[in-house]
Amino acid sequence: MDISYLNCLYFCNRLKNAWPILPTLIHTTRTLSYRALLTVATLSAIATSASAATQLHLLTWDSYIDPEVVVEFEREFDAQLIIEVFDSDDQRDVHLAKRNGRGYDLVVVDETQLQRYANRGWLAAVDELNIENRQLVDERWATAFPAAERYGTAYFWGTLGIAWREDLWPKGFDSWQQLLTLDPLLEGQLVMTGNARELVGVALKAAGASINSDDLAEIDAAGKRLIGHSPSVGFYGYFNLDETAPLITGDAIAAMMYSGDALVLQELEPNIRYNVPEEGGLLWVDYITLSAYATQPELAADFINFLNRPNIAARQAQYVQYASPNNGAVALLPAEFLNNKDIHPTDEVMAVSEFMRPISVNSQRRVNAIGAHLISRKQ
Amino acid sequence: MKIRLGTRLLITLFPIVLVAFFAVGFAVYSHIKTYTNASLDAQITRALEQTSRDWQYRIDTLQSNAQLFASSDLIERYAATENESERVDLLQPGLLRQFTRYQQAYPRYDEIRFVLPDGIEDTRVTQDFVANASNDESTSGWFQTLQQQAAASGSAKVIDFDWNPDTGSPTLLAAQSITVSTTGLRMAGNQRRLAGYLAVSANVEDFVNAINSVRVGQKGQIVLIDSEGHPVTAGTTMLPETLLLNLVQHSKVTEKPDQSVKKSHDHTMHIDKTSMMEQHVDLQGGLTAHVLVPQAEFSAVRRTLALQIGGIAVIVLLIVSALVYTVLRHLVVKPVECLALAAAHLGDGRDDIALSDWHKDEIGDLAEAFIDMRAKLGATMNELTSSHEQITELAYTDSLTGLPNRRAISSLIDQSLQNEKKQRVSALMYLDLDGFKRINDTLGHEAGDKLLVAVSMRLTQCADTFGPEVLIGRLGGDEFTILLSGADEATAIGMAERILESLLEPIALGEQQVVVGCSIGIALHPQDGSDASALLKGADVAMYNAKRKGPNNRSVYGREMQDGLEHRMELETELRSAIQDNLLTLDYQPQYALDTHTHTMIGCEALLRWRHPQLGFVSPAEFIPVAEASGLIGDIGAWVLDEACRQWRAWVDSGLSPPRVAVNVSHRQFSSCDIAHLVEITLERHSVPPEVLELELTESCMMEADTDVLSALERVRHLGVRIAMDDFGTGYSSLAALTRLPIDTLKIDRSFISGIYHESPNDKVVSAILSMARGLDLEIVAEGVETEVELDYLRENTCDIVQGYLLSKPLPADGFEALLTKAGRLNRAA
Repeated sequence: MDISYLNCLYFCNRLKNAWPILPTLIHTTRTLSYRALLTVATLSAIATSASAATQLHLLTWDSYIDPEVVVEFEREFDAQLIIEVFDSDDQRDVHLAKRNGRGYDLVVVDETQLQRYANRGWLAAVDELNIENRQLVDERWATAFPAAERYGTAYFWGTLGIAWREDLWPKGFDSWQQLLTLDPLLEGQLVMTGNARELVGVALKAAGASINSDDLAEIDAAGKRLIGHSPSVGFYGYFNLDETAPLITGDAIAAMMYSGDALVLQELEPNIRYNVPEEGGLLWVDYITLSAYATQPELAADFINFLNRPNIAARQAQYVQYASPNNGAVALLPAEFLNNKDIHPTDEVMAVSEFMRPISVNSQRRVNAIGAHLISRKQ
Repeated sequence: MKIRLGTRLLITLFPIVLVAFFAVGFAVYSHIKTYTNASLDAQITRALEQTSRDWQYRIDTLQSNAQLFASSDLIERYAATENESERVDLLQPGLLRQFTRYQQAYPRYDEIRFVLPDGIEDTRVTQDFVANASNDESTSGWFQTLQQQAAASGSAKVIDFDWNPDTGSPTLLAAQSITVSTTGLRMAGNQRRLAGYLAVSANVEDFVNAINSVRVGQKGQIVLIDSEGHPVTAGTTMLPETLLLNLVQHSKVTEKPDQSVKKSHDHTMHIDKTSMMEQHVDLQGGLTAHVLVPQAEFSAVRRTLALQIGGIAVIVLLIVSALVYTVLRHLVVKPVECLALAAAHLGDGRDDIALSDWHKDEIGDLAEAFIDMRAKLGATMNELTSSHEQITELAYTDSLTGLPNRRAISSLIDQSLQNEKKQRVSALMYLDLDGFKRINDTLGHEAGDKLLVAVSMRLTQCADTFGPEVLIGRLGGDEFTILLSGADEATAIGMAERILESLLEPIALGEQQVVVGCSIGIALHPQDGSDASALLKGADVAMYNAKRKGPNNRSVYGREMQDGLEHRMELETELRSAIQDNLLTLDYQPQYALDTHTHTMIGCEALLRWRHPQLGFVSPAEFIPVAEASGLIGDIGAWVLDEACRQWRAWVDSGLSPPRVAVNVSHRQFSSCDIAHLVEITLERHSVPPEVLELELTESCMMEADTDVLSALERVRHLGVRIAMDDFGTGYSSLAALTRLPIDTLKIDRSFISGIYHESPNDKVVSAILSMARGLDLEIVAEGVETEVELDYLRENTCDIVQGYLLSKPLPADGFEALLTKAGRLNRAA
């Protein structure tokens, strides 16, 4: 059950004919555990031929790495990268909490949990390791959050906004207010994030408050609004970035989405639009971290270094459609990419958007309760 | 007088019965009342026990689930994390997810909470997103109990009934402490510290509803009272407010610190003038269950009971009165009346009142005295009367069948005929059973007696269909007679046919079943006679005539016999010319030795045939009696003997090997010539060895044979000629007779063989004959074998020789010769 959203994918650089099936393998679904089993079964035979290679375990978001980059890394370092995926920060937290942070060499962590992971002793410091290309990462990401400098290497950053099908909903969504207003036409047509802080955060934004509000009354009001709004919601969570995505199939009209993911889907369905609402979006930055329990810390450091090679980072940015924190990469990226305001929001949007900051324990508790109530009923 | 005596006795006895009955009735009433009370009491106790069990089941389930939840790794890891912000930010979503899953699995669990040691609710999921009335539980009763327990022993576990402060629902709460290892490792022997409590609240509204809807008896109710004295009702209660107040006071008075101890007391409460029966039990978690049953329910039961007993009393009283009256009448009134009447009659010189069966009481003594007196007064007359009665009884009734005996039936017939004033026609039947003697001999006299009784019943049944004017009597032995008053010839024949038919049904004699035939002769009144003796004689003659026709036949005296006589005279003439014209021939029927595998022809029976130019084939059964009666039998017999021997010689001379030949002989032949001499010269004439010849005499012939005939037979046998008894079973040969007779072979009559199989009606008879014959060292020939089943049966029962259509029909001489030729060829070939 707990593992159903985590799908093991094995990559093998030795077998060229495995490539045609990889795109579907990478875009795994939350619920299709049988496909995961199939994947393991198909590739385990292949994996044995590469068993001599050193294995590196990475826990990250689904579709958050360019498969070609993986192949190149594996070829260059004679390694095998084993990727397990999650589809929300909460899921990752629960999963790691159950295994007490063990089982991976590398974990992609968002800015809010970075400090806590470090406090819990799950992360190993990387600042003293000789990871050459870390210096290419824009300094603001290293200083933006506590522990970021010591434990994290910024991976990508982006916004959380609204993606929708223009053909199904020509009005579009300009604001969170609009998204959170109950509309009979939208019954069950929305996909909301499965992260409690993000959910409460956008409701706070819609009410004109800060996503980091510590006011229990504001949080309760946001919770009430979310509960009242739940008839519109098909489910709380995330989905695969492939043709099964509800925005593609038409099962959903709109979804709370990360900018890059929306752009990936746009390539499959041109009617998809993305917008950071006028109240401001949620800013986020993901860090790639070295696990304190890593069995291959040196290879992991090599991997971090490899990812931050300017050309690799640039290719990655174009693959995942997120803004790269790597200055070397930015220099290489085409103007068209850099000027896409869905990827790099305008200054006005950035001015009203916020990063999530830690809130008081009581506030967090309330947020958790609201999230648990909502999410458990529509997963 | 009789009314006076009976009524007086009744009037005396009635109050006694009445008093006795009401005493018993009262005892029964009070017993049943006690029983009813006890039963209601038991019902109440059961209801309380059931409630207690159900409640305990709820508690056990909840506690074991709480235990299960508390033992999850996640909650322990959560509790072990002391940094609050880390715990809440990082781990709480997982814990909440877990709690929510539990809740989805157990929808009745309204609330699952993790409470910190200081009483602050840290993590809480609720079924509906309800506001939390307070997140501080430190003042709650259950929490304080937990804290005390934890302080005392390190771990704690509490079960409590309460009202959910958020929803107001009745709730059962199970809480237990969660301890974590101080070193962070889950290992035995580690120091553990209290890290919080897990509390699971289950909504017990359904339990309360179920309890409220239970009815004990008709109107009794179960009421739950919580520890603070509030009634626990989910819906509306039908109990008045005052009653509840009383209960509350009551449960406060009997408050017990140990909630697990269950005690019940009987109480009667008076509330609003309503008397209530009350029992209660303390439930774990601070609840008390009370059962209240209105006393009115008891009185209703009692009223019904009293009415029922009263009703039964009246009915029983009536029955007892009737019985007592009847008994008294029988014991006292009637005997006294009887004696009185006897005395009155004796005064008139009559003695016609039977005085017997006296009870041994005073009235009995009185009666005996009276009888003595009467005896002394009319001793002579009395003796005369009684002996006369006895004689009549013995003289006129057949003791076996209960039918009138010969004497009685004769006079009854005479009486009946005299009563026929208009000389109406009547028919008299004379019945004689066929083969009764055989049954008597083979199965014993007891079986014979049973058979006679059974036959008399059949006859009575048949005769009853005729009507009331019928008389049946047993003439003796196996002979019966029936007088049908007013019956003409056709009716009598119809009745005879019916009787014959009814006797075809097998009669069960113990384990065996037998079929007995019957010959019936009919004589008609008035033409065949005017009195019983004449009619019986005529019917007897007719019966013999019927018997001659074969078993199961009937014959009417008179015309039919007359017709028969004319026919016979005609036949006699024809037969004479047939002998002169040499129209008689012999057919030969082969006899085979019955081996397991093959049948070897070891003999043949020569059968006389008369093929009349006009009449066609005339049956020997028809012309032999004529020949016997006219004396022609002597010539015919001699011819048959000669022809058989001649033929045998002819076959031998032509190179064949004919088997021995059996020739039928009538006992009449013995009277007309010296048979031994005849045989001797005939054998000599054709040079036939004597062992080749066998003479067959019918059983009836043998039985009728006198010493002359027997000595003649002895002589024939002395020559070396075999003697066979034909048609065995139709006559009445006894075993003793068979041993005396000079015979070598027994031929079982075809009537026994026909349709025989294992456990068929004749099975026992035939197997008895066979074993008997073996005992006497006689050869057995079974005649008339027509089916494989019969043959199988005979083979199984080791019969020596068989003869019948199944193997070969009688063949003319040339046909038989062909058979011999074929057998000869086979023999040579072998």
